[in-house]
Amino acid sequence: MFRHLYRFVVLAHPASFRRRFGDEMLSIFDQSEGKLSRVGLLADGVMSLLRQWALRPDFLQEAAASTMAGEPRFYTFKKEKLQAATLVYGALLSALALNGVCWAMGYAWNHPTYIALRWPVIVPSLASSSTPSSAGAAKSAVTPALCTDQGRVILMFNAPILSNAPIARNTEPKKNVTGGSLESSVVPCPDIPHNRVQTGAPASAPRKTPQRN
Amino acid sequence: MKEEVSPFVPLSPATLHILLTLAGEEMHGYAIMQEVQRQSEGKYKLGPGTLYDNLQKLMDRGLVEELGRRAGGDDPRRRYYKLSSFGRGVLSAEIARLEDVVRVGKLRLQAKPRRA
Repeated sequence: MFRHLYRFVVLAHPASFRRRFGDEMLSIFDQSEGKLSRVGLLADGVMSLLRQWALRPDFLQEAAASTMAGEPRFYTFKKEKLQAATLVYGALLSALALNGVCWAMGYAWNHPTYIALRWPVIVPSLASSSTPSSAGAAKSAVTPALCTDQGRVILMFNAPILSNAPIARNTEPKKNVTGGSLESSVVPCPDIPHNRVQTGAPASAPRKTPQRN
Repeated sequence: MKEEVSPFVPLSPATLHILLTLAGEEMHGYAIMQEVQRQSEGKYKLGPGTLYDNLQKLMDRGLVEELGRRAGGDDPRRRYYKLSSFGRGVLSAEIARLEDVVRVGKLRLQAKPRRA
């Protein structure tokens, strides 16, 4: 198993280093005896791998100089070696960018945006309705829009009442995770224009294809 | 000659041990590792990664030359290396520098400390 790991480490080296010394490194590993010695060689290989990729980027210039049918494979912006300071700057910039994204997410979470959506309403026809008065109630009775500050992006649906049954609105105070009451945070949403769409579709019609105004 | 070798001295411990080992005879990598361990009486161990990283730098700078593989009963994957004449000059300059350090150090340690 150690040999497979060491071979993988050798293969992970830059191509120029691997072609030049890979066979010899495996040869030395094959001649080593004892588990401790092989663990030491494996650790040395890992350190060499990090050193070659981070501090010896000569392979970049070699790869840029190598050609395929007379054409360079790729170009590099800079010809000099990649400095360790460049990696540090890159790490700092990455950390700053990640910090900015996290800050933006936290800001959006603490500043909710209210979005009002209009729910399409399908009112049953008078002929199919058993109680004629319910259709009239559907036209007139509209649930008051409610909004809450418990959610962060709140979608407020506005729909008329289709029956005379009373609407159970927060009859029992719900307890949230922290033990606080949710009922106290539910407030009428101000200035939400409601919209009613009246169609001739029966009440039993599926709502898969809602009509929008 | 002194102007040419001055950028290379002082040498790092690994480079010094490798050049000292190759000053005697041409060797392959595994033999260099064993010889370095023997020279330092086991106090300095050189891994393959460190060895070949230094060998690559020394060959790029012309201090060490690669002789290639040898046919025979030896492991065919082994390559042999030898010290170039320029590398021998760099090693001589480094040893001369170390001799000066040793001489000055002995003088300072033998001198009696002055009383204030």
